Amino acid sequence: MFRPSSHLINKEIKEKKFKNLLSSITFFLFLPALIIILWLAIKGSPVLSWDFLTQDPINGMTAGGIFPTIVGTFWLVVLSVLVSCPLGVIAAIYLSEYAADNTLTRIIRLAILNLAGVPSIVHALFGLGAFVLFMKMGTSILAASFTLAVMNLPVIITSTLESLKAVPHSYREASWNVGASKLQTIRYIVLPNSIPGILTGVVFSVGRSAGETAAILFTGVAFYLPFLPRSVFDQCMSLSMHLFTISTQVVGVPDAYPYATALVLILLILSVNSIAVILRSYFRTKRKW
Amino acid sequence: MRNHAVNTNEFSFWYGNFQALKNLTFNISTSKITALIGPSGCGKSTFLKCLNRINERGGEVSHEGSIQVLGHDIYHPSVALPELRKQVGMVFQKPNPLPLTIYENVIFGARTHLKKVKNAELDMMVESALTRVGMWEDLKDKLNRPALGLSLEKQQRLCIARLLPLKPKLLLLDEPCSALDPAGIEAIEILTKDLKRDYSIIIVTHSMSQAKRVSDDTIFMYMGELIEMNKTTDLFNNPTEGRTAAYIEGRFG
Repeated sequence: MFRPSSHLINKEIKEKKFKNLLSSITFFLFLPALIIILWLAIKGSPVLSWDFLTQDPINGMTAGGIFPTIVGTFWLVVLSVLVSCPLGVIAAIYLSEYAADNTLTRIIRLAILNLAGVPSIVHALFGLGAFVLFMKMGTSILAASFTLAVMNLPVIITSTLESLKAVPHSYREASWNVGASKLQTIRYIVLPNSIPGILTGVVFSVGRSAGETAAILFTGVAFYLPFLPRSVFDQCMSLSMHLFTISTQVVGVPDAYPYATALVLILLILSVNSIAVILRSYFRTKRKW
Repeated sequence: MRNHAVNTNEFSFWYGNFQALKNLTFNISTSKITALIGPSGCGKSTFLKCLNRINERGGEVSHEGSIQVLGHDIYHPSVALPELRKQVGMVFQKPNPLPLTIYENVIFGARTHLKKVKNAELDMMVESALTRVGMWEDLKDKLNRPALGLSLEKQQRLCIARLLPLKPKLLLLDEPCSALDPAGIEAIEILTKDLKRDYSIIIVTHSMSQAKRVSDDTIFMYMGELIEMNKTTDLFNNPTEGRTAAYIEGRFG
């Protein structure tokens, strides 16, 4: 009695094989990320130093550091998140909590999904037309950040929508049922429970902004600037653009420079992402369900 | 009028094109427990949800006729839904405490309705509401624990307790025991009978024996229509309609 039949034994063998397949695929997906970072670290190590992070590039960008590009990337990312985050979250709240499900809102949802699929170079042209020329911002940090914000909006809206949807409907019903208004329900019940998901979307968009090159190409980033930006109406340099420039446009850059720049960019994005992970787990422990 | 908690007059209700309630006309007395029985889909839950208009969130609904709660037309344009829901509280089939602490659950409604409340008053509300549902002794040291950690029966009691600080006039219980075990059912039934002193209660139930145990009056509905309404003992002992008799004897439904 209770001994496994041959059919059951077969089943268990298959189960094991399948599990091994899945785990090895997952591992091989993780491997490239690790190899890339290690490779960049090894190739870039000759120039990696504190000076590399804190000095200006010199000698026609063939020596020196990358300080202005870090500053520029920081400006762009912070400003674009400040614009896209409130807009995106508000739009998502409207779509999820207020808007009726009709043809118009379905078209809006579809448009948002499609916006996410628009190539970044097209966003760049849109930014050039709308912000730089039409709104007369000129090529500036402001115009570039707005372009990045437009590019990131669909990501933030979609991820916020998903996390709002994940809050059980019964919570809303319970809240309405004691006479809470929609706004009160959103404020006290829906938002507190969807913040981890919303944060994830925001942080992904930070990563995308930091790495984006095409969208800021015509709208606010310079190849080289001898000074740091003093206001949002100045142009700036950026890590991603600088990487492109010194890898392809400038002659005589030592090999280690692009690798080291790429490493800094990747580590920057990784550290932002890990902040998100920490925040998310913090909110999870605070959660009451 | 005075001693009627609910008067419905030729009330019909549609979800889109589907007519869920047909020409309901009846009165429900105050300070009594009225049971709504009938097979699934007969409209009893729909009727209950009409009483605080909670069913208007999910798309196209329309109605004809009128419902009065304590003599006031609840479909009158001047009616503010939050105020209606404050006075007509509902307890759902599945206990649905909010993802907050026990304390915050009890006062959530009060917080949303009152501008500024002193902490001492909130403490009082929590104590009296939890005392009323018989959980104060048990929970007074655990008020800051998540409400979702309670057993289902206690969650359901908490769902009743959180209505009480709002001083509702009418309590609607939508199959409040269907997720509970026999001990939980008994506890909720005892509580329901006890609450009758202060509140008018309408309870939707699938259990004939529960209707017999707790209610004073019973309404039998079928296909969106009122078939029979009577004192519970009379309805179960001498049903006048064939369909009522068939249903309570378990021949369909």
